[in-house]
This record gives sequence, C-alpha cells and structure tokens, in this order.
Amino acid sequence: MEANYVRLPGRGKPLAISLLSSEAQRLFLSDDHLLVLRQNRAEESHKKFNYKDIQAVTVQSNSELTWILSFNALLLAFIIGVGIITINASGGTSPSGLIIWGFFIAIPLIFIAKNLIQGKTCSVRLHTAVQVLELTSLRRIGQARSSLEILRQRIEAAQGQWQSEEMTAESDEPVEVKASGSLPRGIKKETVKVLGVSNHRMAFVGVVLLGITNSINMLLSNGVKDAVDALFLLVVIGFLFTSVIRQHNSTLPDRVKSWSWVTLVGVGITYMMLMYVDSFVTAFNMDDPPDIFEIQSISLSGTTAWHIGVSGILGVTHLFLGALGLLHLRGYKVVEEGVAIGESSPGETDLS
Amino acid sequence: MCTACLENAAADGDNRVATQRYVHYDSLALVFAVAGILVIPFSFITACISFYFIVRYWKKPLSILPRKRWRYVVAGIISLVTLGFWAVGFTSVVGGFLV
Repeated sequence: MEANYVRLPGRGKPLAISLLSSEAQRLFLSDDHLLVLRQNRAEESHKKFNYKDIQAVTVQSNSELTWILSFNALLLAFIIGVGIITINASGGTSPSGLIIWGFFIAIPLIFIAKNLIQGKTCSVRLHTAVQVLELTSLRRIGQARSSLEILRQRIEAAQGQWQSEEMTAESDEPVEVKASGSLPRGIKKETVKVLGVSNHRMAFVGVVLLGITNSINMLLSNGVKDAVDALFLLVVIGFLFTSVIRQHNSTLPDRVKSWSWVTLVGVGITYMMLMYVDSFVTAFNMDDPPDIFEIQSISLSGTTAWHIGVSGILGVTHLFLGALGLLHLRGYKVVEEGVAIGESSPGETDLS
Repeated sequence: MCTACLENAAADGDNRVATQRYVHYDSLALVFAVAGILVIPFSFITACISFYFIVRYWKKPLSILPRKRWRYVVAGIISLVTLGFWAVGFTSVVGGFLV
C-alpha cells in the first residue's frame, strides 16, 4: 500500500557537488513520517524519519550566496571585458554582435537577480537520536522557514506540544555541573581574537585604488606608472594576505572573512591571467621596444587595444572587489565594556 | 515487524516495505532508445538493450512514490521503430545479394 505523500518545496544539493553530480534531494510528508528522497537520473534512495524520532531541526545561515554572487559578478566582469576588447580590436560592432553580447551579459545578470530574490542561503540539519542528516533541498532561509513550519505542526501532532510553563520549570531547576579542570580528549582550546577592521579596510581601500589606477591605464600608459603600480600591487597583496591570516578565529563577521579570501584570490587570478594574456599579445605585436618614459596615445587597433581591454577588466574587477569589501565592513564595531572602540581597536585581544 | 520479517523482506527485491533504493529502469530504457537515434551505427544494440529493460523490469517497482510507466511506452515505440528500420535494411541487403 502506498503512503499518501505531500511534497515540501525545494529541490537541491550542496554547492560543492552541484557541478559533479545530478543527485538532488526532495522532501515528502506522510501521516506519520518524513520521507527524504535522494534522486538522480538513474536511481533513487530514501530515508524515512518518524515524526516521533525527530529531536531537532537546526537552520544555520552560510556564505553560499556570497560565493554564488561573487562568481557571477566575476563572470559578468569577464564577459564585459572580453566584449570591450573585441569591439576595440575590430574597431566597431554590428547590431547582431551587440545582441549576442547582450545575451551573454544577461545570463549572469539573471542568475544574480534570481539569487538575490531567493534570499540568504542556509544549511538545515535534521537531528535524531542516532544520526544527523543535512536537508540539502532546503537551501534558502525563507523557504526553510515555511517548510519547517509545516513539519513542526506534524511533529507537534505526533509528539505533543511543549508548554511554556514546563520549559520555565525545567530551566529553573538547579543543574549540577561538575568541573573537570581539563577539556575532554580530542577537543582543542580555541582562542577567539577581537579584531579591528583597520587592516581589512587598508586592504580594501588599496584594491579600490588598484581599480582606479587600472582604469587610468585605459587612457594613458606609462612605463614609470606601471612600475609604481606593480609595487603598489605588492603592498596591497601584502595587506590582503595579513588580513586573511589574522582573521582566523576572530570576531569578524563571516561575510568579511569570505570576501577577504575572494578578494585575495580574485586579485591574484585576474592579474596572473590577464597580464599573461597582455604580455603574449604585446610580444607578438612588438616591432621595436618602446620608450618607457613615452606616454602612448590611444589607438583602437593592435597592441594598445589589448592594453585598454586588459586595463578595463582589471579596473572593473578591482573596483567591484574593493568597494564590496568596504561595504561588508560597514556597521562592524568592536565593543569593549559598552564602549565602541571600532577602528581604533588594539589589534587583537585574547578572549579565551 | 520482526527482525526475521525485515530480513526476508530485504531479500525480496520487489518488496516496497524494505527496499530503500530503486533503479529507474524506465529512464534507462528511454536513454538507450534515444541514444540509438543519435548514434545510428549502434542503434541496433541500444534498441535491444532498451527492449531488454522494458521486458525484464516492467513489473518491478520504480519508486516509493507513484511513477507512471510512460517512459517504458515511449522507449518501446522508439526501439520498435529502430529495430523495424534495421529489419527493412537487412532484408533489402540480403534480398539484393540473393537476386
């Protein structure tokens, strides 16, 4: 006899395996149990959880949305940059070319809009006495709330409702705690650092300045300026590197930590890839070595067109990374005994 | 349910109570049938495999949820048409040799 199942919204898989597997999870409610169905194109498997056995369902926000948005923003910057290079190299474009370019730009834009509409991401875990299962089909906080509300009603119907008076009575009962003096085996003592934002702010401001200087490179290119830019890049990467090292186990919000990593990797990758491309194109087109003190004029063909395109991509990417990093830092303050010490935080403080 | 009943039920692959894993043979049959159209030189083999899945697993449960068998039907039609083309081609070639 088949049970009568009601499907809960959501169908998903973890971001990390989404590119490698077609397997997705879906949830169904029965009269007496929750069915967790894992399905791919060729087979399916399932687990049944009686409502009476479910002990807890936890929802924890995560940084998946930041990664998705960052990837799509980088993709968008790349497509725009490639388009600018192509237009400059060919000296113009046809209406059909613009339509194709617009189509490719629309793809990441649609994904960004879709993800912003769907809201923040989260990971939901179902706890029973013998296992903890991640419900990968519920990946958005809003969706998880509405689905878990339906599930909560079923669980309450099976287990009974916990009265608030009972909870108060339970919590008022004295609890005997036996201090052992040492941590259980296998658990390490973690030190949490109170970290100010000055280092991160310097790093993000540096990235914004890199974006500005790269944008200026679109208009004029000078050997001395390029050398100063290279030194400045090293300084900025140094700031970024110290930021990501120091932020470990710190009080900084997760979004700042994640974005610092994204910025460090983004700056590194864009410089490596685009400078290599630029060097190759320059080497292929170079007849005689240019004077490094000579300010080159803009030309919409040949090597200089590539310089403009590469500088444009670097400028847009770095401005985006730096500006969003500064936005992430807004509102974060270090509070010590009721006084916000914010940016004048003395580096690190041991809270252990 | 007792432990022995569960073990017996698990040993019986068609038992919906104990089975926790289902292979979608209908999807596999359809994939093989359509693959034959895309890779015509191998279409005879893929059509035979598709037909085997249809005949062998028609009665086997496909899912814990209700699942219609339309994929089997579509795969069967495609496989039959494919095999029909092969039969016509084969008879015309053999007939040409004989004449």
